[in-house]
Amino acid sequence: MTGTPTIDSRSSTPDVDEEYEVDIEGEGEGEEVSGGGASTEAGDKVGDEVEIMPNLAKLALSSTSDFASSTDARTTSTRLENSEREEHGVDEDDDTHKASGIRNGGGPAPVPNDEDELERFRAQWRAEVKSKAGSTSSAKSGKPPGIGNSVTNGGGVQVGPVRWKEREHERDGNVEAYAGDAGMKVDVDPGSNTSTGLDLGKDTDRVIEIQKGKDRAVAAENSSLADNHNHRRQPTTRSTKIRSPVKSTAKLPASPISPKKALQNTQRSFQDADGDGDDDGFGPLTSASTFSAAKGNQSSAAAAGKPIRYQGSIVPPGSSSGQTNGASTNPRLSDEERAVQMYAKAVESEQSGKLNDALLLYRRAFKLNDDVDRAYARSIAKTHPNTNSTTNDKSSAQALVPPTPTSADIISPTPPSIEPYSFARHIQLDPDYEKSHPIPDQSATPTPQAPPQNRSAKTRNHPDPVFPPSPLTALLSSLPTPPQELTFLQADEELPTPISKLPPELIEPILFHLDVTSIERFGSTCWRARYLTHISLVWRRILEKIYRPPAMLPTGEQIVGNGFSNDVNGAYGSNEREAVEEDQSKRREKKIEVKDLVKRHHGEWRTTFIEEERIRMDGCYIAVCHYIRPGAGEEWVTITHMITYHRFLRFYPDGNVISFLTTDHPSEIVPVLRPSIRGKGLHFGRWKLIRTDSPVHPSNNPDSEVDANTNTDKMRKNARVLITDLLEPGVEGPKYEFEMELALRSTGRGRWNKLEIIEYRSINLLTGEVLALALKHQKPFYFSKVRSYNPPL
Amino acid sequence: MADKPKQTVILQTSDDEQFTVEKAVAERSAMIKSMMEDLGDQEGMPIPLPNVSSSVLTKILEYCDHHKNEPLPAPDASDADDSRRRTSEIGEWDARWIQVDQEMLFEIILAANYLDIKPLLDVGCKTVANMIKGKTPEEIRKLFNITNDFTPEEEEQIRKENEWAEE
Repeated sequence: MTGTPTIDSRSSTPDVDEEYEVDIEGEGEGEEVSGGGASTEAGDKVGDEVEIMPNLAKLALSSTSDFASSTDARTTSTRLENSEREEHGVDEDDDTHKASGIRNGGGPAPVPNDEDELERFRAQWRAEVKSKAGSTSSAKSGKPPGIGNSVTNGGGVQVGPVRWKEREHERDGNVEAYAGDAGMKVDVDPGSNTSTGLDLGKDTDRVIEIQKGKDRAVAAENSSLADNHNHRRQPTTRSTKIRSPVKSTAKLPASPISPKKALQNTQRSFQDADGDGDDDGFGPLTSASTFSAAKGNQSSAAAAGKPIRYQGSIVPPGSSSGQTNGASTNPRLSDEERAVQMYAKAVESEQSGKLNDALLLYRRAFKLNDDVDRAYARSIAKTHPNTNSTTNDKSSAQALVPPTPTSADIISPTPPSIEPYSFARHIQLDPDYEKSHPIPDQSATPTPQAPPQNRSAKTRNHPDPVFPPSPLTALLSSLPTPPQELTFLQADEELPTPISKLPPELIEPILFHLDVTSIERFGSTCWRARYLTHISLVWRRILEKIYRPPAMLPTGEQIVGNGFSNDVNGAYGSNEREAVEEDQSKRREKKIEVKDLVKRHHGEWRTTFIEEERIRMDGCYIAVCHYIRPGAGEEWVTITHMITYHRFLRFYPDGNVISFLTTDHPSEIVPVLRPSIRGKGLHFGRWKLIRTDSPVHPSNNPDSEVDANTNTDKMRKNARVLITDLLEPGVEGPKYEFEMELALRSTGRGRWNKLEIIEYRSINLLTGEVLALALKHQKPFYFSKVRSYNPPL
Repeated sequence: MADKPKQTVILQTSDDEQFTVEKAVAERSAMIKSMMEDLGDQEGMPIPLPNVSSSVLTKILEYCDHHKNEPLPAPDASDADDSRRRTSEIGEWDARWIQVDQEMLFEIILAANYLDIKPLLDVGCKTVANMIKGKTPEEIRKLFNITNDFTPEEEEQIRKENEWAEE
């Protein structure tokens, strides 16, 4: 279904139609070429039907395989040059996707909902193609409804190779605007393609080439087939592609996927870039990539990081003449911005599973701007500093390295906004963070990071493993302005901005009065605030309060069995005293201090705070557990009770911890979870954090560790919390005391917010007998922030 | 405090206004205090305060006058500073006194820094901090009339980078 509607829509699209027509007529010429681009997509499927251009067909086929929608176009192209097209075809496919997506968005084209629809559409398409096959052999035959769209794309693509390169040079400005016009011009290019292929390096001669291309195109189509590089093939292909446009539209519906695919395509096109570039041109994405590749060789601009931008710019190249581009560019700019925003929303929606919304947004975005996908890619590329910016220090360079993060990777679903306290958060959707991924962001961006094994090895052998620089540092160093020179910019000129008068040394004392969340929110307001909060020494003060015993144990300390058995009276205070004494006695041994931690993070206190293990005290950890108990059954009724109970853990900086087991709802417990709380299931104890960099781990229960962590390597990735001396408060002569061992983890939504219970044991204080308790119903603890808990930050 | 009654000093502001101020009041400013010590007993010699306008000085003298009988903070700020900073509460009188418009607030902070009146600087900074607390970045921007100079992409990256702090 998508196919047919798409076709119509495309035909309806003015630019497309024109292009199509042109292509059809000028099969031999550039127009056809452009069509070829479209055909590439359709190529594979079409290929069977259309036998006109074997070589092209192959190309088309290759491309076609990628996308169903493109199939139709491919068929036509298939006939052309098979071998050549295969290469091109791939690129084209990508391009076509985008292109088709664009067109579709603009046109009425219905969005295909699934592949089945696509398949149906293709089938129809093929039938159509076949019926028209005779004509198809000529460029015009390719015209089928979809053609128009594909033509535009294809034309742009084929022409593109040469032009694109040129444009690339020109490009940075406003490539995107061209797309529509470009399509037409593109057609011309096809002919020129052959020449362009030769000239790729020569930007100056585009026009000439184009003309030549047209002339040649006709003749070339036949001969060009042989020339792989030649865009000529594309011309033929284009004719097929013209048809494909329809298909491409069909793909458009699928466009939600396109961002990633586009990237892939672009990458492919890079590979093909020189020879295949022409074909690539068809698909907006592909073409873009092609350009970058070509430019990369020729132009300085094609830095590794820039490919994306080029692509974006490449797209405009679709318009054959640079002049056209320039003219069209300006008017489209505002539209473009809006379109990009819409596109970004669409990507987000798509990624968060709202496919319908995403579809609508994609279509609207494409309606506003045919090249929105490239514009979007380009806008994303902007965030990555130019590789050539010499100001970057090594860290920024590293961050930049990730050459072409896909748009999809950069924009991730926004995490649900978090309320001060909420149970919804107990549902963990994502896997835990591993320490090797300090920041969610980084798992997406290929920033070099020490692999976990290295890290643990390092930790063992060297006290000071060095971590990669933080993403924020990279961001800051990639700014055009040195961060020190950033200023608070006035938002409303009518109003004063007195804060801008404050020098950094006066912002600092303000930060000292803020909690972590507020600091970070202030830092999110603008670059200057971001920079000042990043380098602020407020972090140092916070860290010095957090990273000390019992959160920082001297290495080499015997962690388990610290005389809890001696401490029978269970008084809160005496436990504490004893623990402190222990700590002090052990502290003389080799000691990791905050300073050592900070060294690992390039002296960045804030980064250290984010990355280094800590127990959170700005809330409590809650485990929600269930079990089922059969109730008293009657003759005809079976009653089962599902019991829900909660375990609470609240940690205090002085080493005390409250453990509470209750069936009451957290909303009742959280407000009263203080040392003054009393009730059944309540225990007070002492906690210690056994960091991953602590060389000695408790050895008295290796089995449980293995159980919980499968292997020691994994175990070392997680710090562990040891809670000892758990005693019921206010009970004289307690008989039992409990110990709990938990793994400290981070989930996708925050840091150090998950505690997985590894072992829970009871100690008979009279006999000293230690019994491991069953953890049958035990679920992990998840952290809930509680506003009223004011940690000493 | 154990003031020799009516020992005064003359302060001259940036707009050439002269203020005759009780010494105990002027001594709230560690900077003026040390200047007075340097100048010795030269009565009638105005102390120039080129960085303070008369309107701001008027306001600050109000503060100094109210606190003139309190012990001066230790010259080395570090520890005492820390404990003072820990409490984000502002004294009742100070809180009322500091209810000024934003421009004046920042002027006060600047002047307090220049005049080296630590408790006053503290009050100012706490006030600004309290204004920031509990607000979203957008609200903070509005509050201070500052422009969001992140590109949308940068903002997204910043937001991601900051996720840890929000949870």
